[in-house]
Amino acid sequence: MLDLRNVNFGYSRHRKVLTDVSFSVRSGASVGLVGESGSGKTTLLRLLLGLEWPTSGTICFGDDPLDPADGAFMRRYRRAVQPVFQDPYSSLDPRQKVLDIIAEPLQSLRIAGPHKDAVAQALEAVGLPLDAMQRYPHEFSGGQRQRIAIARAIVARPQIILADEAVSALDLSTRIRIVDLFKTLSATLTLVFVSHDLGVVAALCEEMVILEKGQVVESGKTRDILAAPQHPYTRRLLSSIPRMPA
Amino acid sequence: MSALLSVQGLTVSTGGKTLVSDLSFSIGAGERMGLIGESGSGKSMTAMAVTGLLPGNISVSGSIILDCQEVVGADDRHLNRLRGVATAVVFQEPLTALDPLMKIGKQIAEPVRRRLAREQGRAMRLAVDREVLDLLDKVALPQPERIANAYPHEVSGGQRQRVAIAMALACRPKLLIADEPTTALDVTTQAEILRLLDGLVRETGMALLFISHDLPVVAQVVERVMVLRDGIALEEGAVADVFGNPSHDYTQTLVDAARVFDEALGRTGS
Repeated sequence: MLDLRNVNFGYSRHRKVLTDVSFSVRSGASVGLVGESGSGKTTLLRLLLGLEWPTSGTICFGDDPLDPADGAFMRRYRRAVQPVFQDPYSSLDPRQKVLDIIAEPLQSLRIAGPHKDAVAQALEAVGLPLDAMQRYPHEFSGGQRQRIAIARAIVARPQIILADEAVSALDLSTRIRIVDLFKTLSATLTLVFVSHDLGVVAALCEEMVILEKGQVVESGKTRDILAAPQHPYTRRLLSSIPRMPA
Repeated sequence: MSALLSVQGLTVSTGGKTLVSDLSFSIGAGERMGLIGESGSGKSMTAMAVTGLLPGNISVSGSIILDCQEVVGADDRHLNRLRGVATAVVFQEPLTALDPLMKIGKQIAEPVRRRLAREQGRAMRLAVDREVLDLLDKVALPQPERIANAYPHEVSGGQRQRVAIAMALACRPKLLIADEPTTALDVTTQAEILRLLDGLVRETGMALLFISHDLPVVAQVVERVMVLRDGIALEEGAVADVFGNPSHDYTQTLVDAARVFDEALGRTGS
């Protein structure tokens, strides 16, 4: 569904952020992109969202490469791909009602209204009551806000959800519930989940791609990588994670 | 022996809202204790109250005896003497805890100068400089001279947190308070900082009050934990007991959640 081939990217000519990144995301897969700060994971996500373009290399959606000149194709792509961001406090417009926030993608993708039914379905899918529609973001807790952000992402029935550290700002007891929600959604959607938290990715994603300093050091089935990490960086990452006492 | 820190019936409130409610605990000399809680649990408020750093519009009642002195209601002159001698704090975000306009060496020199002046009556510049380099070396920063001459923005996040720890150590406090000291750091950096903190606390025999929302992190550095929710202490005990056999449902929820992620990683990482 998504296929990255030798993607290179730099914000300036002298500083490369991504070097020769290649991997693919099959339809229906759940893939975790794991890396620490400076690994290029957020930049990679920006490329996947079509907000930046590779300096060289290609990103294919289906059989066709993303192309800024092909407006019709990019519109189709943007409809197929929806983001969920890290901080539900800054990613929701405080002056809009939840109904309008969730309906926003439908409007910007020029999908004909009325949108109320679609919004109601999205709210139901993320486990929020229907009366949430008429309320404002500040009336909700962090976990509920993240549910609103997820409802907004799924309302236009995308094929792929791109989540950027989507549970990192949440408390542990909330985080586990939002991870469960993503897990439920990933049964019917393709999920690309960017995170620094290997534990969350391990619990959620079947596959993962490990990034270090803009390069893919290891990728494959989560189970296999955890059982036998091949790259020294993956091993260091794994051994750094504090574990619960037995 | 009386405890180094004894908190009795601490209540912190502002504008009719209670942030910490009737909290009591104590820490003996050299003891390591963790405060666990999610956002809004009052764990940072408690730390601020212990150091007398709460702003004036927040009212504090109860008693906090730190190194045989009452903190609640004490004036700044008294508190200033306690800060540094009795306790020093390492905060979560080293970029905001450090002065961006002051070279790192100079920032560490300040508490060093204060302590030398206190202990020896005067602080010779050479002695201060030497101690600053010693401290940078102690927190395992490479090339101490270069770091001392750098500004906070010129070094990495992990290095900045080491600088913050060096500043706290410079005071040689009896109690080190670490408020989410690794939350802003990468996991590999976190592992290094935790090792460093653990080693330093053991070596110097300081007591440690470690505040975090992260259960496995807390388990690595302390012996005893207290679980807070909405400003109320739910339970307290040895790490193995609280995590192994929680007596409160909320603690059980936290432990279960932490175990889901822990078990997903398998046993390879340990």
